[in-house]
Order: sequence, then C-alpha cells, then structure tokens
Amino acid sequence: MRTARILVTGATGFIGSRLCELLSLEYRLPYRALVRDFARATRIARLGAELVAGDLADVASLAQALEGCDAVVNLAHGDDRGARKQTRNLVEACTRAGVRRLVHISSMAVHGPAPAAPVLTEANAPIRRWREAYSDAKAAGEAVVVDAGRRGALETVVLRPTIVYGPYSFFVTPIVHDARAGYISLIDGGRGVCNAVYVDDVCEAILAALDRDDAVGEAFLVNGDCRITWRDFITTFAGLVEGDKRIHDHALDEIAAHWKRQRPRLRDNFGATLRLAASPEFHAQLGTIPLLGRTIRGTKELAGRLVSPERKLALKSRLQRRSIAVHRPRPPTPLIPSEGRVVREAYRSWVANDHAKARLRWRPAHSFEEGAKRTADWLRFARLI
Amino acid sequence: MTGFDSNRPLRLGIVGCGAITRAAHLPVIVADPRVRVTAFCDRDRRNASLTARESGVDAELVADVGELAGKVDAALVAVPPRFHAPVAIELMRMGIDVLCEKPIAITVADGERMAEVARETGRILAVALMMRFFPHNRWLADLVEDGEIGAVREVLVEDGAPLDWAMASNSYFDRKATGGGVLFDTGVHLLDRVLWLFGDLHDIACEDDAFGEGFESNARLTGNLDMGGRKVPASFEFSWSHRLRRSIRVVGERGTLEAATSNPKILTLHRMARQGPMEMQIVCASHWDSHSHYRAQLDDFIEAVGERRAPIVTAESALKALAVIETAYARRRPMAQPWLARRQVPA
Repeated sequence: MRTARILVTGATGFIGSRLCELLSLEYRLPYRALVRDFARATRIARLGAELVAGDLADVASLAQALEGCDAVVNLAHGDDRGARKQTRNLVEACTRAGVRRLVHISSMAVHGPAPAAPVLTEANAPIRRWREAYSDAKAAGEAVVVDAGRRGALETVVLRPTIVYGPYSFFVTPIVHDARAGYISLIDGGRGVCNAVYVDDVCEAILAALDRDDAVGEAFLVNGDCRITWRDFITTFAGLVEGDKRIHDHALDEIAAHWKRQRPRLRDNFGATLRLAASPEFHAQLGTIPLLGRTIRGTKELAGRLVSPERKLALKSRLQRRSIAVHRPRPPTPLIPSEGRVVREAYRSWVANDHAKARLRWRPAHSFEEGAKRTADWLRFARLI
Repeated sequence: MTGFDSNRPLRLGIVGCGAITRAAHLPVIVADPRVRVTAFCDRDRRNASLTARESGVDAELVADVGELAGKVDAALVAVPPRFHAPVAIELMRMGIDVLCEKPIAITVADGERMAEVARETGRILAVALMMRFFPHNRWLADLVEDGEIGAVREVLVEDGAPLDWAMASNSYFDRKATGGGVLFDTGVHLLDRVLWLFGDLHDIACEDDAFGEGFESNARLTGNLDMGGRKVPASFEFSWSHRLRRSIRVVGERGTLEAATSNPKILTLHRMARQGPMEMQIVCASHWDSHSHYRAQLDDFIEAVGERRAPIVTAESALKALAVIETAYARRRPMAQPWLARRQVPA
C-alpha cells in the first residue's frame, strides 16, 4: 500500500531510531514518532521529524497521535506485564482512527528460548507460553495483533526479528567495553548459534511489510543470511579494540556453580537472587540445560518464598529497568554472564528467513562482515574504539 | 526595587517550574534566609503546585507573569529559552530584578534587547551560567597567564554524556521553545567560560549531526582564540549521545592544564617529567559540592540586587557565547556519519 502517514511507536528505541533515520533521510515517507520519554529522543530529534508525546498505556494520547495516519509500525515494548493491554490499546485506537495497516514487531522469542528443530521456521516452531516474562509478553502482544487481523479490524503483518545488531546495539557495546578492559567473554566456547541480522535489514523488512499487500495476515522471521556463532560475533567486535585481550570462557557448570553459591547467603546475595527470579528472558532455556535448570528453579522458589507479591512487583520493575546500554561503565574483571545472556548465547537453532524472502520480496543486504563494518564506523564516532 | 531593605528577605518569584528549577535552583534558594519565595509562576498549574509541594514552600501560585507585580522584588526566569526575552523584559518593566537561565536568549538580537531594557529600567539582569563560579576558573586563567605551561599551543574543550535529564516537557526538541541542540544547550556553558577566561573566538567553523530543522546531538566547533595577541587554535566538541572528556584543556609548550567539569575545585597540571608523565592536582577550593555553584550564583545575585551593582554574569558578557553559537549555526556543515546511508540489495 502507499502510506499517507506512518505512526512509529517505540521510536526512541534501537530499531525505532534507525527506522526514523531511514524514513527521514532515505525512504522519505511522512511519519510521526511517538515519544514516551523525551530524554531518550536525542537521536531522532536530529531529524527534524514530528515528535509527539504519548504512551501505549494512555489511550487519549494514541488517538491524538494517530490523527491522519493510515499505517502504524509498532516497535514499542514497555513492561512485560502490560504488553497485552498496551497492544490492545494500540489496536483499538488504530481501529477507531481508521488505520489501514499495522506492522507489529514481535520477536523470535515467541518461539521460546530453545526450540527443538535445528532449523527454525514459522511453520515448525510453535508459539506457546514459556512461563518466561519476555517471551510470554511478546507472544501475548502478537496474539492481540493477529486476532485483530483475523477479525478484519485492520491489515496486520507480524515481524519476528532475531538478534538485531548495528549502531547503538546493546549486544555490541558490552563486548567492546569488555575488550577495552582487556578481555573477551564467551559462554560455553561461544559455540551457540548467533542469528544476527543487521538493523537496517530489519528496517527494510518493515518497509516491505508496509508496502506489500500479499504480506497481510502473515508472520515472518527476520534473520540475516550468515551462519555465525556467538564466538564469531563476539570476537569480531572485540577485535576492533586495540591491545591484548584474554579470553574468559564461562563453562555452563561454572555458571551453575556460581548461581548455586548465591543461594544460601541470603543477606549478601539477596539482590542477586531476586534479580535472578525477576529476569525477563530466562527460565525455560535453562530448563534445557540440566545442571542449570535445577539451580535456577531452586533459586526462583527460594526468592518466591521470601518476598511478598507486592514487594516482588516493586523489585521487578526496579531490577528490570532498561537503561542506555552504550554508556554503562563495566567493572574491570569479567562477571558471571547475566541470565539473559546465557539464554541468548546457549541457543542452538538456526532461524530461517525463506518465508520473508518469498513473500516480502526482501533479502538482507548486509553480510555479517558488512554489518560489522558499518557498526565499527559508529563505534569510532562514539569514541568506543 | 531600588529601595531594597537589606533587613527583610528578598521576595523572589519563580517563573518556570520545570526540572532545572526543582533540581538545581530551589534547594539553595529554600536554604537561604536572605530570600523568600513568594510566588511560583508556571503556565501549567500542575508544575507550579508540584514544585511548591516538593520544596515545602508556601507561596502563591500564578499562571501569568503579570500577576507578579507588587508581589516579588526579583525573579528567577527558568522558562524555555525562546521565552527568556519576553518574560524577562516584562518582569524588568514591572520593576523586578531578574536571574535568567542560560542561554540568555535564542538570538543575539533578543539578548541585546534584554540588556537594553535592563539599562533603561535600572534592573539587575544576571544570567545563570553557573559554571562561571567554578573555583578552578581563575586559577586556570592565572596560571596560563603566568606562563606555567609556556606558550599556549591549543585549547581543547569537550563535554559529552548521554542526555539524562528528567524533562518536565518536550521543550528541548521544540523550535517553538528553544533555539538549538547540544551546542546551544550544553555548549554555551563551556564556550562562555573559555571566552570569559581567554578572550574572543575568531574564524569559527562548525559541523554537527542534525538534518533540516532537527536538533544536533553532536557538534564540533573550531576557531582561533586571541590570547595575548597570539592566535591560538581552539576546538570544542559536544555530545548528547556519548561520553566525551568533559573538560577544558589548555595545551602549552611545557604542559597541559585541565579543568574538569566533574571536579570544579581541582585543576590538573599534566607535564612530562623525567620519570614519565606527571599529574599535579592543584586544589582551588577546600570544599565544593554539586550545589555550591548554584549557591555562589545566588549569593552574587542577592548581593548585586542589594548593592545595585553588576552581577558576575552580565547580559553583555553572556551574549558573547550566544554570538559564537549563532555564527556557528549559520556556518554549520554536516558531520560525517557513514553508517547512515541506505544500502540496498543489488537488483
């Protein structure tokens, strides 16, 4: 379809900001960016585009933001608990405003942290509830969108990107910070599959989803074409930093032993224990690694017994607070990797992109080498290398 | 208030109850017995009442500057920059002295008009460029002048950190409210200090990362300072997106003097000694915390009002940095951002 005006939600995020850059500078399509926190809008404020204050939780703000828009790209992901409600707010506001097409950015996480198939496709990977906050929130949001599409309320296209990297990526900057501190940190030899897709290629898929009418009603996995491991990914970015680096390879039993030690010392490690229990992208994957699974389940139960539900919610919102990843100073010694990182880097399935290629007529334009080179250009600009 | 009575507290109006007022100004104002806040003024009444509640000050809440007549002797103006000139001028014409947030205005012409009205009405007009009160400023200028580092080769200024400011509104990115991005908002502090300490900047060139009507989040400005009759190259880099060094460095033949924003009571001398690189810390004040410069700024304003003397940061002196910024914007060129171009799949 030819769009009159697009509303971009989640516009200050990593993918959203890049999409706005491309919409302004390259695609040259009229759009409006929905902004919840203006302090995070410095990147898109460069573009001179229309920024409008609003929040998926605030229905009135959505109605206002949608005025004159016939397409929406939903890149917002607020808090996990509110995802269903917020997506419903957006879908209802879109319906009322007469929006024709909604491109909803979901995640490969809807398929859970450890799918059984060695090659994951839209057809062979089920969407279930994994009792894991982030995956379940993404699945719940997607379900709201798909349901609206089936009812004929509006045209919907769902995209499920994999590991999206590029300038400002929070997958890249911690590696660079580690390398600057003199080390490279790997999990289990870095042999996990890294389904890396360059952020611009995700934006091109979004553009195709807005444009192509035969994409309507479909969901697409959006992955790059290069089959790399996490070792390749990590050593590539660490290699951009000059100087000697030591490799710290965190074996899975080392991680398990560390977490086990955290358990009994309630006073000292209470925060760590709670953080473990509150982690958004976690538990199911660890169930597939037997040694870790037992430790984690035990820790979660322990924390659960010690804290009231209200306190847990308060702690969750505090502990999961997202911050700008680029600038967080890292301690000089390697830490035991976070739960989220273990889940990500222990992944064993390759994610196919054939459906997107066939139906969206899309193809990733960046090999990993090219994506890494462009990311390096930004790292230099940001004085990180 | 030419008949200002030093025995009773100065009645202060707060015009603009946003983030800077609440976080920086009010803590020192409330703690000072020489001033009493008698009115909070904000177009958004919720901002005014929230600010009154937070600060525990029992003062009148008003929505319009005109309502302050007769109720205040002086006012803090902390509205978005575009409104500095109209608001400050209205206040001064009402006989009210003004401490105005930086940048003084969004154009030099506006700022000049403010200075003119201050002269006409005999009002005090001070500009809240609080970094002027950093204790290491004077030491830096004096040691450079005394030849401590020999002939000056260059001046390097950097200030960068991700913007992390609890904004009460979207006025940072609204042309109806403000005049520019990081150079205008953050850069003005450092530019002001360098111009104040070392003289005028010539041959100005500037590049930034904004497009069209956008607000730059990175800017690089270069020029030549006129230091003791010699041209000294100077460069200024500012970022809202990533960390930079956050200091003024004066590089001389025999060492570098560095004034870091994070530690205003220390000046550092870097020099190559026989043993290798040496760092000498010069203590310029025994105590300085994050409120100290706001306290010093308030002291100066209260005294200027009481004694009817010029404040440390006059409108005229604050206009120098704004003039540089205006020239820089007029000459701005795009900064290289090679990762921005679209790469398409070859057909």
